[in-house]
Amino acid sequence: MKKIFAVISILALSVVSVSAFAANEKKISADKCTEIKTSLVDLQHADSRARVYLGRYYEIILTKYIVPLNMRLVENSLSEQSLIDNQNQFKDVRQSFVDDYISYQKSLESLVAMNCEEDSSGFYDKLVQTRTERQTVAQDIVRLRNLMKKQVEMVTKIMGKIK
Amino acid sequence: MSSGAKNLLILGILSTIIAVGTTGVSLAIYHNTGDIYLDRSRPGFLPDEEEIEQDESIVDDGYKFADHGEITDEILREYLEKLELEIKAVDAYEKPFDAEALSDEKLGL
Repeated sequence: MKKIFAVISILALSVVSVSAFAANEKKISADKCTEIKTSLVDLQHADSRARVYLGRYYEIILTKYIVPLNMRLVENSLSEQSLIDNQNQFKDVRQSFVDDYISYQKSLESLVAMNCEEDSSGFYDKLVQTRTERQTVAQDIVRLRNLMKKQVEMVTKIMGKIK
Repeated sequence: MSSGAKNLLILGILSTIIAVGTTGVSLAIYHNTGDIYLDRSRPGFLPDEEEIEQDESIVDDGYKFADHGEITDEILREYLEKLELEIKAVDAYEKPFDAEALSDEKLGL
């Protein structure tokens, strides 16, 4: 009985080890590599379109809404520190969006340039890094959205104070 | 070869070296600063037809919030209305930089 149990345990451990090894060793075939590269290049183009689209609106919101409002409020002695802070934060996060986007695109470009068939492990490590950088860009977008919403809330509050 | 011709040849070679050098430096700066990733005029990144049509469909109603002048409830109401339209346009872009695009499933890994 003990012998049977020992054999079963050894077999179970081997299966787990092989699975773990297989998970870490993602071997990519030549055809698959080409397919992946094509997807990544398409993604580069899609991301570029997204960056331009969003960047244009962030620029409009900052220069045509947030900044002029603060200037006009100062002129009317209705200036609010929270709105000025929001403006500064918006500028900073918008710059972070650009910087993080550039960093992410550098990573993505390196990924596209790698030979995923010859160096599958290295390719996968780079992919994981690129994912993290993409997530950072996505977080900047969320932060900018929250700041835009905050702008709306604060302006709504001011409306109640004006006689 | 006369000395004049020799000097001309040296001048030509030097000019070429300087031109190649400065072009190389410019390209290196262009790449290292990340400007290349923001430039949509490079091959493969030009706006496609759909994007151009989208750009043309955006109607500019001429609204401009001036940075001087009085502030009233009415003015702020209009400001908020226009601002919310811009925010709506931002939100209309579906799933920008979502995690799914680089997932194992999407890439077939």
